[in-house]
Amino acid sequence: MKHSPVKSSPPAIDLEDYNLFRRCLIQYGESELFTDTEEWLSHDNPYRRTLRPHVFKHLDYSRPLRREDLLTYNSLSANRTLLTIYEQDFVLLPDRDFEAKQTDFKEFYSNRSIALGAVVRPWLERYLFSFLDKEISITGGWTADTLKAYFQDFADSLRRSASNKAMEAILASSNREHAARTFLIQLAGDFLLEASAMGRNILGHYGPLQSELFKIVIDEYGYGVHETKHSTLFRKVLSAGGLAQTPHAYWQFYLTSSLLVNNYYNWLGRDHTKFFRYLGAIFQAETTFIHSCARMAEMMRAVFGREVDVRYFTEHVHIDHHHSRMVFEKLIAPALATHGEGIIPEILRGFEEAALLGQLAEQDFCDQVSWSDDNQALKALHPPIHAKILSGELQPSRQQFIEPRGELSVTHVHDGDELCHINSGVMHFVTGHERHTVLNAGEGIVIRRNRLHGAIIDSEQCTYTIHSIGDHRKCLSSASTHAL
Amino acid sequence: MPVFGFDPRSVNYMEADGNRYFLLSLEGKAPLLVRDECPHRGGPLHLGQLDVAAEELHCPWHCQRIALRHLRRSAMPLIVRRDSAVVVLPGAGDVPVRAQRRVLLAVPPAQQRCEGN
Repeated sequence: MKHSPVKSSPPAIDLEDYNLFRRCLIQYGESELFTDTEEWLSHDNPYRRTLRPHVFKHLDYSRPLRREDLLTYNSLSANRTLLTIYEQDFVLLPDRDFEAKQTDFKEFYSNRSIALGAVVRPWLERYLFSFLDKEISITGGWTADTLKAYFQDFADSLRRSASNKAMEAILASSNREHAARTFLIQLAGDFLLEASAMGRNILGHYGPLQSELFKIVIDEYGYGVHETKHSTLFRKVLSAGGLAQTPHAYWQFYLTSSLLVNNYYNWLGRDHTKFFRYLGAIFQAETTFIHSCARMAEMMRAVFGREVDVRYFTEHVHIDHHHSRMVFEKLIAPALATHGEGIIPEILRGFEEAALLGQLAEQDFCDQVSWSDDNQALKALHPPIHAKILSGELQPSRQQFIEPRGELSVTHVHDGDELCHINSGVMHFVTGHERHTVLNAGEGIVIRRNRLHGAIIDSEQCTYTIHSIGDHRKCLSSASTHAL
Repeated sequence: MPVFGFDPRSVNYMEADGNRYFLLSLEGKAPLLVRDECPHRGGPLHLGQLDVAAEELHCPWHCQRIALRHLRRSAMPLIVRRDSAVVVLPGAGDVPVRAQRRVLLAVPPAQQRCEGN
């Protein structure tokens, strides 16, 4: 006798229940690992990463993010949390002093945290990635030949164009070393765990494709020779830039878009219904990387000197020629032959999504470099705007804070422009790793929307006021609105 | 095969290798780049009328009814992003592509039915 599945009523767990997700998210955050920290860097402890969980109860993830809102605080928080959940799948060990970190180790991989993360993860994925469906449409009768022509055209276009906006932003920055370090920090989130997301597709049983993907993974892992493993090579790049080399030392300085890109590859690797999408995404990444790594090596030499160790980048200029070819000839083409041309839209979707996210991340990085460089100019905007507030011409909502020496505001972003005014004391307003603007009593600064920043108090006490001014340009115009 | 990039906000019609194409945008659906020639006598389908309810496009010459599912099946391979699009057209790679913006009548909500056949 055949037994048909009978649905439990009510279900044991209703995974579509937003309130269940919300409760699980708040409970997920109830861990010492994720609370605010008094230090900017995480010192060789891959389990501790501040998520600002006290804010979770105020965040709304019930509706998917729109592209316009990709860099908001909600998005930053969702991305930090999602990456943490993904990385609970990976083995992470500190370089030293494991014994002192054993409690954190056990907590990070605890059943409690893993189970809560399993409920939270799909909601955050839906929240963060649904916008891609609206941004890209793929229609028409795609065939293996048209796909090949399109990919060939893409590869040719990369060979023709030598421009790289991120590298240009670094070289044009008023503090090139800082801009270059900020860039390396963005890469470090992914590169120190390089190919871990790819490794998610290694297990299983899927014929010759599996062996072909494995060959690429073998390259990434340096054929088992630790000195040639790509993440080891990247540690040397970090060292050349004067940066710490342990995973997520600079957790607080990852831009929202850098986290988003990292999460994207984990999303595709973790959800095996997106296997073909993953193939398109890695074809895009491997092909683009040939050229961008050449530009990155040039930038590193220009900023840190000719002797700097850039083998990570030169290795990719070489090996990604092979990987690009291997992904197309040994993975995509055989997949089409075996599984039919019906998988082409998914392959193209992965390719297009990876390209779009790369562009968004590049722009976000360039904007952050400008933001850091422009801090003195933004400080100079404080007096005229604050004068309008004092005169009553502007009436923005405000919040006052009183904080003691050493109080650290974990890096975050605001969804609109804000004016920070120091009532008394001294604040170091932080716009990146080891970069800050000193704000004394009576001074202040315009905080641009979506720009990552933090602060630390450098006096016995500091009282400051945050005015939510919306758009600082409107505040400066003569016809500024009264109630903001 | 020519791989042709264009801005879908300013281009909705193109010609290449003796063939004509236009961008068919249906409400709530992904845009399609379809052949402009009616399979009956080659009438300009971009000047036809859409019957959204019947899922048909009516050719302006003889009111030939063409099912949208047929247009969907025979549409050109197309990717549309927010401000750019790319299509792979049939023919040799160096075939020139002439892109234009034209008045399209085959757009919703034009749903007037043609009389006769």
